[in-house]
This record gives sequence, C-alpha cells and structure tokens, in this order.
Amino acid sequence: MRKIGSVPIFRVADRIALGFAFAGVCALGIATLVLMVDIALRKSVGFSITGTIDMLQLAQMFCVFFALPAAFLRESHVGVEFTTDWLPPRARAAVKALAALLSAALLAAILWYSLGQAAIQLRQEDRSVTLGIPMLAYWAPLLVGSALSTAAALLVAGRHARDATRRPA
Amino acid sequence: MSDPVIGALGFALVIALIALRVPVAVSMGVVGALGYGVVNGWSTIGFVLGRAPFDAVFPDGLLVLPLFIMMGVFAAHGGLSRSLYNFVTALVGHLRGGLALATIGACAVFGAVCGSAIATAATMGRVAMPEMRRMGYDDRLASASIAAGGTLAVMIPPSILFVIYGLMTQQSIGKLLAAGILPGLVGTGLYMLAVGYATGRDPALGPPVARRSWRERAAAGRDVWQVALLFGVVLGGMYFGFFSPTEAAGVGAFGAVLLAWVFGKLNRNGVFAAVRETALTTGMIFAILIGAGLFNYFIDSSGLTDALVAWVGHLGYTPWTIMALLMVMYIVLGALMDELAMMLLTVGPVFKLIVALGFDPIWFGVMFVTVCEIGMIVPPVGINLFVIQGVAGLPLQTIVRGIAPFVAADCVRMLLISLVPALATWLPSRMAG
Repeated sequence: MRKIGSVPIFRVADRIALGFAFAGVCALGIATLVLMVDIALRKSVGFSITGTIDMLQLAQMFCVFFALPAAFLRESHVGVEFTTDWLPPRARAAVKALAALLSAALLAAILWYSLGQAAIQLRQEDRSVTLGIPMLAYWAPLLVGSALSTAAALLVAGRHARDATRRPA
Repeated sequence: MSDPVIGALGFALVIALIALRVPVAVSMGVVGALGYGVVNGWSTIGFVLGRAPFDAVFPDGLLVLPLFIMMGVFAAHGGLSRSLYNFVTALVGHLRGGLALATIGACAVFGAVCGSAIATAATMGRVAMPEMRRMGYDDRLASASIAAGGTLAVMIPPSILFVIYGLMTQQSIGKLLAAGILPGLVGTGLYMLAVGYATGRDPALGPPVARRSWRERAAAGRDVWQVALLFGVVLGGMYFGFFSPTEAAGVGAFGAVLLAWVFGKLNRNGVFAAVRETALTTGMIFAILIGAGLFNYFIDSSGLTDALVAWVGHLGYTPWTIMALLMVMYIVLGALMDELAMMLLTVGPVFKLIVALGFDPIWFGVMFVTVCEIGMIVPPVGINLFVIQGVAGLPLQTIVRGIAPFVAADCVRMLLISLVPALATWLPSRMAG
C-alpha cells in the first residue's frame, strides 16, 4: 500500500475515498446485524425477517464498490513488482504511470457501459426478488464507485507521471 | 487464427501486462474485454464491460468473502493473536525451538478465525518476532516459521481461497472448508517437524526457554476460549448444518467485533484501522474478481478450455502424470505470481480438465490450496516473505535461507494427500446437509 503524499489534492481525495469505504463497511455491518436478528428469531421462535438476502446483497454492492476508490488511490493491488524493480526510479515511475492510466481507461469504460446497462434496468423497472428494491439501487454503488475509482486512478497516474518527469535532486 | 489460440494468447498477454506492473485485476480486465471483442465482434465489448463487473459482485454466494475478511481483521485487531501466542508458548516454549513451535501452533489456531495468510503472518509476526529475538532465536528460523505458519490460514477454515475456488467451480463451500481441516492439521504437524529438523541440525537456531508451571499455563490460557468459541460456532455451525456458509460468516464477523468490543481490546483508533483494513482488503479482492469476471467471459467464449481438455486427452498420459505436471506448473506459477490471481486465471480451464480426468473436485481444491501455500513462501514473489520482511525489517535472503525445511514439509503434505485422498475427502463426506 502506498502512503498518500503531502499534496493537498491527494489528502482530500484520500479522505473522500476513505469516507466512502467506511460507509460501505458500515452498510455491510448494519446488514450483518439484521442477519443476526433474523438467525436468532428463526432459530428461537421460527419467525424469519423477509428479504435478508436482498439487504445483504445491497450492502455487499455498497461495501465492494465504495471500497474500490480507496484501493485504487492507495494502490492496494495485487501485482508483481520484482520484474521492474531493476529499472531506474524515473523509468519505474513512468511504468507505474502507464499502468495507472490503463486502470483509469478500464474503469472509465466500465463506468460508461454500466451506465447503459443501468439505464436498461431503469426502463424495465426491474426489482429485487423478495423486497422489491429497484435494481437501480444495486447499480448505483457500481456507478459511483467506478466514477470515483477512475478519478483515483487518474490522480495516481498524474503523481507517477510527475515523478517520472521530475529532475533528480 | 482460431479462437482457442486467441484465448491462449490472451493468457500470455495477461502475464506480460502483470510483469509490466499493471495490477492483476486491470490486466485480466483489459485483456478480457479486448479478447471478447476479438472473438465475438467489437460491438459486443459494451455488453461485457457493462455486465461483468455487476455479475462479479452481485451473487449472494460471495457474501461470505467480506464477512470472513471482517471476522479476521477484527480478530487480529482485537488482540486474539497475542493471547494465543502466550498460551502456546507457555505449553511448548521450553522445548528446543519451542518458540518457533509455538508460532506455528498459534498461526494454525489463529488461521481458524482468519482466512488470510497475509493477515496471519503480519499479525503473528508482530507478536512472535520480537519475543523470539529477545530469547536469542536465529532470525532465519524465527522469520521462516512465521512466514510458513501464516500460510496455514488458507488451508484451515475459514479460508478465502477455498471460498473463491468453491464459487468458481460450483462446489459446496461448506464441504471445501471442512476438507481443509485435516490437511491443515497435518501441515501444522509437518511444519513442527521442520522446526525440529532445523534445530536438530543446529540447536543454536532455537534455544529452549524456561519451563512454565501449570498455574502459569492455565493463566495464559484464560483468553483463548474466545478463539475456540468463534471457531467452534462458525465451523461447527456449518458442519452440523445449523448455519449456511453466509450465516456462519455473518456470525463470525459479528462475534469477532463483539468480542473485541466487549473485552475492551479495541479503542476508537483500532476500530477505524480495522474498518479501513476490511474495506481495502475487500476492494483488493473484489477488484481481482471483477477482472477475472471479464477475463472468464473471454476464455469461455474462446473455447480454450474444451480445446485444452481435448489436447491433453490426445497426449495419452495417465491422469496422475497430468496431475503431477499440473502441480509442477502451479509451483512455478505460484513462485512468480499471486496465488489468488493464479487461481482466478487458471482454475476455470484446469478444473474442467481435472473433472474429465476423474479427480475429485474437493480433493483437487485441497491440492491447489497446498500449492498456493508453497507459492506464498517461495521467492521471488512469495507474499509472506515480503510481509515478514516488512514486519521484522530483515533482508529477504535471511528469511529465504530459513524457509527450505518448510517448503519440503509442504511437498511431503502434497504427497500424503495424494497417497491418502481421504485426508481431504473424509470430513466433507461425513458432513450434515
């Protein structure tokens, strides 16, 4: 994981990204509490809360897609580094900048085409199986998360590009 | 160029991008989308890019992942690892290499509440490394025992790798988790033998410490019930059909948070750190799942899997020869890339081959996870080596110099699971539900 630099825009971006990540985990935490109550009621008095899985799935969408911007901004990725570790620092920064640009391009494409899919869901008025939650609610975290992740990847690309073009001290 | 060849070239391109430092998730995603376009026509890219990320996260079977991650993170931040280490040290610390044995034992038990090898190695590293150094243990044995012990977390349930393998191959997650118990125990025993072998050759590696009285041992064991309770409820509940895997994961996550909170081991900063770690780990894992989702759309449509099965069938090798070759391939691949990425990249096509050859899918899952454990402690990219390097501030070569007995122990375990498949299949076959 990379430390966030002292540049103000990174500090602000990190706070925003972490805020979304916290909100996502809290959503999952609340849904887990509902699940606990459901299990307790079901096992004790045979009463079940309707739509627990719908709620958990919604919470999962928020938890995952709201965590992505922080993961991209902090570069918490699974990757291989030893193959480029031998490069001089500026060349290594350039490689990292290109990798981050590729990430941004993929995330932007996901955002663009997911918007189309979400619009289809909206037109068809699709809803979840048990609680009838509009499917758009499940797409919303994906759209927000991929938009913020695109911005995060672009910021990271900019930072590495700056390092790549900076003269050695 | 035929579609299966395009699929094979896609694999090569993913590896090339990963080598160029592109994140695994992005490498798989980019190649998956472009490859799908090449095979099915460029106009179809929009469908796969718009659909795969949603489909990769939405299934309710995946709920166990963030919940098990939360359980492990809160158990680590709640101080369960230190209680465990103190207890096992009180029991076996007086033996030659006793603190290393205690590290292995504590890693195995901690792995029973934390499905991540990295988290287990990092957590136990912070607890055990200073203690072993203080008692005059050689850095090679101390660091290698933590790196290897940490890998037990992906075999002993709950294991994130087993969950993902189960989701990818449509196998029962409950049965897979149960399948890991005996091999995990065998692995723990073999790692302890590896410590015995290393200290037998050079006793200075791990000098014994003072024997504790039974009163001290009992006192050290006071807090260990929390781990036993969590493990018992989660795995026992699943094994006896009381909980579904999702419910068990929810109970585990809730229990870990509750225990940390009730026993006052988690302050405000600790809660924030645990939530942040849960979010980042979840984001990291699901990013790869999304990339793998895109890539699998491509591989499925390329027909590579069927072509691979047909090609291997024409070779005329026996199933066990093919299995041995696969394991060698995985050991090499595991030494070069992350285990989760290796699984998501290869298990789709390989699984079909395994089933066609007549191997038990649950047994293969256990073999695969064992190979993953080896990959985690073998240079150049054995992830646990880097974790311990970071925690202990040691040169990588110091850890690598101590790791050989543990890798040998893993190879012996693979051999045992091959010779006695019941080690992996007996418990799942006795499972309720």
